[in-house]
Amino acid sequence: MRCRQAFPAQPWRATHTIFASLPFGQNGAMVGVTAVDSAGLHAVLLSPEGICLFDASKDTGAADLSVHRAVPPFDRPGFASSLMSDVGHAYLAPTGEPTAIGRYATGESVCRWSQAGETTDVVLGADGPRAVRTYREAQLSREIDLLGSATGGLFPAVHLRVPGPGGYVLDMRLVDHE
Amino acid sequence: MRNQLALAFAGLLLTVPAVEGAAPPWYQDWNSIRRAAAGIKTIEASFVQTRTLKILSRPLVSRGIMAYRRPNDLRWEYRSPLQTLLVVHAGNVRRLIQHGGAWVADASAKLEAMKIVLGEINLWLDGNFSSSRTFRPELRPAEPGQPARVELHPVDPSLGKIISRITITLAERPGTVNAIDIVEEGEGVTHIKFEDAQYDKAIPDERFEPPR
Repeated sequence: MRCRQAFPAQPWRATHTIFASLPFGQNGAMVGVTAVDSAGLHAVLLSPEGICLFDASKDTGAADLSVHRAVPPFDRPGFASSLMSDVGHAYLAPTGEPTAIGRYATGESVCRWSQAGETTDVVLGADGPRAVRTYREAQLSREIDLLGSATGGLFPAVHLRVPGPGGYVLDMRLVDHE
Repeated sequence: MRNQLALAFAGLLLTVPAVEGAAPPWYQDWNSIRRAAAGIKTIEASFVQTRTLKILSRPLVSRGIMAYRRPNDLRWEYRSPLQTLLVVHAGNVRRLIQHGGAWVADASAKLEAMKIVLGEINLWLDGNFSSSRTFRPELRPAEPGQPARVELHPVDPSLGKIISRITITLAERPGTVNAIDIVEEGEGVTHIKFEDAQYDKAIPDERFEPPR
């Protein structure tokens, strides 16, 4: 299904540069390393100097995250779950079949998954997946643009935006994958 | 961290074992290291940084350049895969990120670990390891097949949870460093190797100022 082309087939490992635009004009640059396989998801954030700022994993089917390292301010409450949610929404396909397939009023083709109070839309362009949008309680919670042509389901650039007062933007550029 | 890394003076490898009757090596004790480092007025070099991680089958490779001018001017620039810049000049420290064709301020400069290390940089660039209050230095003499090195161990256990130790491999040229290894227990190693070093050439002030 074309909608599933928005996400890489497992297992995979990838390295991205990340430019984070945070509230109050705070900006930061990091390197993100992600590994996904049948056992679960593992995400690491490194400073440009290679220092591990954050390291966490979530086993498949597990309710909780395991945080192996979190250097301040990456140890603040909610950061781990938010980061893993960012990674999950950008790179992990929703489970099961789409709840609906159709078009927005604007004409874009969409595959929709509705699970546990959250809705995930994969928006298709003429040449394949273009965006992923997630909604919680009918409010947009994440907007993810997929830029360029994917290789093995990994797009050269991914632009993730979390709206709202505490919102932020992550510009992620693929460095390497396997 | 970038501050520690800035302590790099690229040189060639391999330490020649001491020969009886020969002059003692420049790294025989803390005072001789400090004297040798004081003889270096400027350094410019490129570096290759490799980061190993358990979840990666091949290391992450970063590349950059550095410049140092005694007593306190520093430029530490990553060119790939991230483009970031640290400049220190006239007491001012600026850390920038290249994004969207422009240089923007880097908020990560506020990270406590970075601030601690920044406070150490002048000591290291002076070869003045023994005066550090943040790291306990140990001088490891050269052995066959192993050059002399300085091992730095965090004094504060909270910093030790982030960095378990730093190893600075000394080069043959007096006052210079060949490589730096930053070891994070359970999280792998960052290895920085310096290349194409040039010493004591004039470096203009603009190299230590943020881009306009």
